[in-house]
Amino acid sequence: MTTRRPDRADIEAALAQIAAVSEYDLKIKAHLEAVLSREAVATDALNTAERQLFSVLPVAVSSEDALAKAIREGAVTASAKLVAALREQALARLAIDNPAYSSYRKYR
Amino acid sequence: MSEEPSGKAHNPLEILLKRLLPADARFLGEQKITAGAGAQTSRLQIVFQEGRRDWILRRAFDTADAGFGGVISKTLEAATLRAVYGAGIAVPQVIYVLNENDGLGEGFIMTALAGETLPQKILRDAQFAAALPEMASQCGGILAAIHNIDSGSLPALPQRSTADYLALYYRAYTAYNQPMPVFELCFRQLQETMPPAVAPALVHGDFRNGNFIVGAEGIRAVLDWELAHIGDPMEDLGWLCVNAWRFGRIDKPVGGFGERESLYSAYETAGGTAVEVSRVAWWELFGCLKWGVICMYQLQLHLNGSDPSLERVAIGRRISECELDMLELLEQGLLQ
Repeated sequence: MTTRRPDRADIEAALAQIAAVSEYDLKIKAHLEAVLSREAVATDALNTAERQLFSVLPVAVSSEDALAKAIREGAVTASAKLVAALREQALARLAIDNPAYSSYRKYR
Repeated sequence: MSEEPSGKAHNPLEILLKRLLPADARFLGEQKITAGAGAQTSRLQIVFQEGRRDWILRRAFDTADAGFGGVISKTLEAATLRAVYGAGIAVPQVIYVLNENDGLGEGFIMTALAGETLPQKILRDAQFAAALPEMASQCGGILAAIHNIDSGSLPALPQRSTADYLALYYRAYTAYNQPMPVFELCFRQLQETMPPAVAPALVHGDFRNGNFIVGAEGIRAVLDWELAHIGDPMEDLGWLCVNAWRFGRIDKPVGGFGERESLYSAYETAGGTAVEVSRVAWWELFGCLKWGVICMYQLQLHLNGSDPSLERVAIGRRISECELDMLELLEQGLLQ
């Protein structure tokens, strides 16, 4: 069992296959369509944030998965620099996922 | 009651209601309310002789991991509701607990109480404006009363030490096989700073804006006891302050409507134990993480096909909100 961040294909498949019948569903459909629109123009910023994150690490890792495992194994520990780089990545994701979120608006 | 011309009810719910309702009552229909993480809830619209008075049907999901994250059975939730109702806590009254002969799965029927539950409306609508400044204190009073309930009057709820609870969510997280740096940092921080054990008490487990019935005078009742357990009572105070439950009012840490000081002082005045601010902060960080893992769970229901809804896939993109909130709290911990 693997749960990953739902990508464009997951969202497009859901929008194509699941009928939005209630007012609530229609609201979620509009929200997901807006996510995809923002993603189409903001992917570069997300990639930049990820490269920046990997550049501040004390060990060489090239994927988020590897970084997570390095933290689990204790090869990478919490530091102000790491937290700041992870925050930039989270903000780049939120610029796509939900720029109205309160914590995001505190920074952008 | 909706019936065939012969007067015969024709589905399990109608058959049950025919048995439970007086002969002169009419069942108008069932309206789905939510499909949360741990229950499917619907409103049973009923006209009694004296007027309209609805009931609420809460049923368990029929999935293999229905007990995700410590969700108790609906039968146990009903027994808990009855016990806390008996202890004077404002909650809906349980009318009937389903059994296998009813053909409706596991669940119960309770009274529907008047008032608003939608957090955005509670925080925005003018009719609640006068109540909002008092609600943090009200929460303190209600929580003190819940935490002081004599455990002997309660059904056999799960006992969760803080370490067990953290381990429960770590197992759920690792089962999804998607290691994420912020989650890893958070689990590590929580493990390393875990507060020592305290005298256990009844913990609601999901005490937050969104699970209150609110009227113009403030909180009328507390809903959704599906995460109830015996554990550290400070969990409820921390969870109430998680940013996700402030619904945009980030400057009002208690549910988007109040201040921590109001919550803590009302809690202590009403007979709660002395509030340890650092312990509440630990539980707030745990709460952000817990919500993140619940988002993963709900996304998984979409990805594995057991509930392929738009809502479940959308929640998968809310994990970034949890990450930012966890980082905020982690940083506060690092800077201390």
